[in-house]
Amino acid sequence: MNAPIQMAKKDLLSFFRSKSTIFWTLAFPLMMMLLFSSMFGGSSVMFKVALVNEDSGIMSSVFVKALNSTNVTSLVPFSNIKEAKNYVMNGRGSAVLVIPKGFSNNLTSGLAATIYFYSSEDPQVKMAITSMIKGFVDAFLEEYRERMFSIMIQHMPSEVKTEAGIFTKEQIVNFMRMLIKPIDVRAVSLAKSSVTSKTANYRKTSYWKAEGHWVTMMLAYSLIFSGMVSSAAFLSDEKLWGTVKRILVSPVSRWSILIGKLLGSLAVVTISQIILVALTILWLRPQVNWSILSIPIIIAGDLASIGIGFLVAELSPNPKAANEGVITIGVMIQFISGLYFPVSFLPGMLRVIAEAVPFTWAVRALDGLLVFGRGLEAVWTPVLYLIVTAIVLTSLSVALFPKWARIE
Amino acid sequence: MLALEVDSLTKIYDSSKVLDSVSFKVNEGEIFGLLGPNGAGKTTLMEILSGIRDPTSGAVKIFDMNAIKGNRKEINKLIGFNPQETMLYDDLTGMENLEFIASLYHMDRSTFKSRLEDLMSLIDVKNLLKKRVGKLSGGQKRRISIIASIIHSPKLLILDEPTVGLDPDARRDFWKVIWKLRDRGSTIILSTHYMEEADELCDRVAIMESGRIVAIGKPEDLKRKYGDKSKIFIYTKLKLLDDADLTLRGIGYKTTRMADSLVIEEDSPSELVPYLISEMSRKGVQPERIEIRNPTLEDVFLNLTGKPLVEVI
Ligand SMILES: Nc1ncnc2c1ncn2[C@@H]1O[C@H](COP(=O)(O)OP(=O)(O)OP(=O)(O)O)[C@@H](O)[C@H]1O
Ligand SMILES: [Mg+2]
Repeated sequence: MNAPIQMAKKDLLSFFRSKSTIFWTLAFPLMMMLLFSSMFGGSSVMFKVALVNEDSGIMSSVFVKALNSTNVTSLVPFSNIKEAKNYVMNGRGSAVLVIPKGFSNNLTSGLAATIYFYSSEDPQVKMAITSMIKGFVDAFLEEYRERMFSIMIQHMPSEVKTEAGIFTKEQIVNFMRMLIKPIDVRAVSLAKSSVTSKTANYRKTSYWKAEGHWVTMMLAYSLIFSGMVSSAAFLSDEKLWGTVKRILVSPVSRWSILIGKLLGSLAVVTISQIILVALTILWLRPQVNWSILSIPIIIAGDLASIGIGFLVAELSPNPKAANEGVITIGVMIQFISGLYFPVSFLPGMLRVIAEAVPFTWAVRALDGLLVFGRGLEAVWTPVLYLIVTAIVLTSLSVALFPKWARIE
Repeated sequence: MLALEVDSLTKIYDSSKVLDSVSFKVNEGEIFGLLGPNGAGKTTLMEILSGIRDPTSGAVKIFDMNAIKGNRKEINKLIGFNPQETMLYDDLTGMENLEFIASLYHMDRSTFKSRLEDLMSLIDVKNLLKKRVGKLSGGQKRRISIIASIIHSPKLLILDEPTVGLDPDARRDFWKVIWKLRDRGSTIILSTHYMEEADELCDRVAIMESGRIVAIGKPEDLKRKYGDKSKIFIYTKLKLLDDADLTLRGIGYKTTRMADSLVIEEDSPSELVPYLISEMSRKGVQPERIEIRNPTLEDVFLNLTGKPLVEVI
């Protein structure tokens, strides 16, 4: 019988026999998911967009109305750009949308129009809101083209004579339609085609995209919270029960003890992740861009979190303090790391702290993969940061371990 | 060969000397007792021997190996330690606890099974091993705890108050286990504050008080040297007590008069008692009851320290 494996097995057994463990590792994250999924009514996160509408024409008001009806953004009107930018920079809003003077005029007189869009620097928010606004504008333009086109058709003569010959109105209309929209994807829908029904299509798209975040939430919750809570408990419970004495009088090396605890904690995280992700899939049936690249993020994150757990146990004066300490740290980290809401929602100072916490990077990288379908480029910096953190923390905990393993 | 050699062991906590230059030796195959009141330093001493705590100064050799700054791994293979509190995992069953502890000694399954079977014939834990330890009584836990400490057949067994919480029957069963382990070649060091346990179970006893060993030796020797003389308590009908006193003084014995009895101090009481009975009967003051009280380690402790061993609450 291999001592570290037996240690891990024993720890797992007693960990999952405790009711409070089941609550913290499984029930609590599911409750949070339920809470947040009902809060946002199954749609993705509501983004607050600061709107500066300098145009007073009909087209801009139609555009704003349509954007408002998407229910994905809530528009907050501002009268000048500076105020609107401050609103986003303070982290209260996610983006600024400026409709300059002449927007309506240009569109109705056949000229190109411009809108300006400034987004928050939070990459997670930036990506989501940029793709959302672009999607919306595409849908809006399609509708706009259709209408312009039908107006043009009404005023077109029934025949046009050219050097190449005579073209009928029908031929010309078909040709122009091909130029505007070479491929027409027809969504089979009973609703009358209108700006709002198009944006409703868009909303559906954005909705399933953000669903992947539930999986991120479950994976990251386990690696952050269950990782540190279990590793701290595995050390401090030995002191609580006094069983550390039995281990210390045995020929087992200090290394075997620590490695056993590490393995046990990794197993706790993996088991809870499997259970939580399976339940999420069964329950919400989310659309997820599964990626093998999430594994290095998870492992590096686990190790960083386990390092924190060990350190808390080693530095605490008694097992109770260790338990309270690690739960406090774990809860704080899960709330600021973008697990439940974007980091940009946090007030200033907390946002700075959140950016420094490696787990924020883990959440963002997981979202990058699972929600936005990104590749290696989304993963390697967070993984590097997590690995460095894990190495620093575990080295510290290894250094402090001999002191822990003495009875005073 | 010496199983244990302790030399000038001192442990200081916040400037108070919990162990004050303790020295003693234990021979291989001996059952050695540490007898002392609460706070004497027994646990501190045993945990230093077990390698769990560091002494402030002094040396310990276990089977001739340096146990303080030496390689504890080799020593730890040879020793078994039973902590004062039972120290088991409450969430695990007795069996799971024992399996885990056996794995710490790199024991394979079949060895574990046969050792456990063997120990179960000595210590009754039949229906306890399937239950979670947290649901067992103190005495039941202690039995499992003892098995846990000896599952790997240690050559030196260090037991800190192993019989606290056991009922008298279980305590005597436990003594048999200890004797059996000794017969198989183990050396045993145990602490206790039951003086009859030290007396009957141990080959030699060290009496500890406030971190020092105040006396060490075989129980009989200690009692002879530091104990009181044996006392004969003679009870008669109350109205005959005065006549009995006169009779005994008449044949040359110094009596002490108690409320309901007369007391004579005597080195070999059992030889004297028949003579006393016949003399008293002849004078018509037959004793109702005669009691012999031999010296105990309790007296030894009282005489050496001026304090009772077990404080009367
Ligand atoms: N970690 C510690 N820090 C400070 N003092 C301690 C510590 N451990 C023990 N002591 C003190 O050392 C003294 C001896 O304690 P110890 O536990 O060795 O006594 P003991 O003989 O085993 O008593 P008992 O019969 O109650 O088990 C006590 O006065 C105790 O308060
Ligand atoms: Mg003690």
